Amino acid sequence: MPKKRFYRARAHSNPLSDSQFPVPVKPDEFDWSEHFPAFFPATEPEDNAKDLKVRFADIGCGFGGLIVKLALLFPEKLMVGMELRDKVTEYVKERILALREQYKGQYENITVLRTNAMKYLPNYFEKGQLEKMFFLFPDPHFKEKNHRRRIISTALLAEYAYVMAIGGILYTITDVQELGEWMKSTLDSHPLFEPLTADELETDVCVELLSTATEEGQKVERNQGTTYRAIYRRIVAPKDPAGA
Amino acid sequence: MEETGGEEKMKAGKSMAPALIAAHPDGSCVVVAVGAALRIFNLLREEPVQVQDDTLPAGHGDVIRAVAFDLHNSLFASVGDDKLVKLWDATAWTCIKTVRLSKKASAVTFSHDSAWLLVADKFGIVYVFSTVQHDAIHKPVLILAHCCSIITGLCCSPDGKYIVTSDRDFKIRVTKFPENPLTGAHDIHTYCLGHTNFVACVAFIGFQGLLISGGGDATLRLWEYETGALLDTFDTTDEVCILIIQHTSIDFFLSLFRHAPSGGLSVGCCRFEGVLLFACDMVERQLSLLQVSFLWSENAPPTSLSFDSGGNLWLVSGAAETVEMGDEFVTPEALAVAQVQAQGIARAAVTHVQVVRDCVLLGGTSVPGGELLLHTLQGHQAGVQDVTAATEAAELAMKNLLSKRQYTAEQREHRKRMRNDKVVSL
Repeated sequence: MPKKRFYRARAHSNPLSDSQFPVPVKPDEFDWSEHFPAFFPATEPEDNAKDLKVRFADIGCGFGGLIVKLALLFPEKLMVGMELRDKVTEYVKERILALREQYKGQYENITVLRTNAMKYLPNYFEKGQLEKMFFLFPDPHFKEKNHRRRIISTALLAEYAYVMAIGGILYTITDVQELGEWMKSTLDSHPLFEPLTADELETDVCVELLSTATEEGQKVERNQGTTYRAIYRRIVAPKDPAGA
Repeated sequence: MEETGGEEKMKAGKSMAPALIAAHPDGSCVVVAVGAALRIFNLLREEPVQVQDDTLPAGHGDVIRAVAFDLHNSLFASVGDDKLVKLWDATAWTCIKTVRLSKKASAVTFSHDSAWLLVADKFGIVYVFSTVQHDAIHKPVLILAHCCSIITGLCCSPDGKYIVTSDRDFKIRVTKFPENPLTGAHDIHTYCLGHTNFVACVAFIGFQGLLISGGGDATLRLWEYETGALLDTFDTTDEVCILIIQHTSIDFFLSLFRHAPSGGLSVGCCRFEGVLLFACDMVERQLSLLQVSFLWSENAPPTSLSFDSGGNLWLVSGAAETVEMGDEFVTPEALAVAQVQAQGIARAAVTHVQVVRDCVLLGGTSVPGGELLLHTLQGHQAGVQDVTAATEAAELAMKNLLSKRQYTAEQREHRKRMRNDKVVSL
């Protein structure tokens, strides 16, 4: 298992800086088989029933805490963590390999990508492909002039709605109150998303993981901070001509 | 922060901006936008036209980056590095409205029914204005955005259903045109992915669901925009093509094209002293190279082109300096000074205008409007050399803008230190 102290990186990475990493031209040109060797190639007949498309994405996955927990909860679902920082991505890669080695047959359904999710989601995912998207403790970008870099914004929600299937769920959590209010109001005013009801939140197994699964979440708990969650479902655009 | 010393201050770069040309859809006039000025020639009355701008600020304060005519209501829009959007009445040539954006604009277009004006800025945001309600809100309304990517192409589909935007990150996005554009275009229909370098321009062709794009990867691509499917690719670096074109420059890329009313297509290319004429077969859905037209002045590639309703293809080459003010704190006085400077540069700028008809280059007097038109649109008599040098500088500037820059780690550190985060307010 890799040691975090050899992979420490700053918490912040500029999402606007020009990318130096390779990006697929379009989704069907990306070879997922390298990431999920146990799922590809499907040689036996029952493998045809396997869902070979990535369905869950953790945007800004950090050290991989969430996808590691999700891997066991949803062993049939392929999931990917996307992270901008080079060193941290390396750590997650090593962690996944170590887990696969230690627990044979498990953790084959998770992987990590080093990429800028704000710019390149449509390069990796087709329309309506993702069933869940996670945004855990995103960078608050406190200054008003930096608000446009926030990962939940009206303009970017159009892209997230594009890659998500109708009925797919978008999870966000933060410990910064202003950001929590911002994300909630941005999602509320977007016509393609509606909030989950209290009942739905109770029955969804992922909701609890939001505050406990990741490093950041555990740190907030230790410091007894408050968290603000906004969990929404991707819906079909309402036909109302009066607008959102 | 106060100004840092000497040449380390963020370069108040003097870069060159290409001259633009546009022909009114009803054939009444031709406009050349060079620098901050609009030079207009009325073809029907065979005389130059002076614009009248009673809005504030009058005239553009820096180079004009994009222009567009609409189809139905005789409107014209000009947007530039001065962050202004100007809407003009293209019959009387008076300025109807001036709006200020927060960033420099890179593209402009009208919706197909002429009711809306869309402007894209260099940070990937597209704004929408109503062309009908002149005294309505002046604050730009955000309709959609590409994440922090210069928007290079912007157009609305002829069936009124979609807005297509192309950007520097190789992407073409097809978004549903909303019922009420002022509430935003949230529903992305599809992406047309395939270019391997920045997309330089997009345009609709015909009425059968086809879209064409050209890019820095030197290809022309034909798409079906309902599905995002790539129907045909014409690679101009293809061997066969090289024989015809005889270009050797690796900087060759498709920079612009216009759809001719008759169905043909023309493509102007960076660093290529001519124009490529393509045909698009609507049935077979394929592109083919029809003709390569070399231009007279061997060293001045066209910077902009436009078809008019009569089947003439208008070309212009030329460029003007920008009046970059860098990152200093901007005051109204500084802006006024910059405006005067920009107008001066624009007055002095020289362009080279040519017309191609039926694949043949028209000579001086046979150009519609004759010598007077050439004099009006070109400016003072000057050698071809001036135009060539200016044009080359403009193309280099455009290429630098659109291509991803490669910095060494040292340069990156230096840039981080020199960054200036002051907010500019007026």
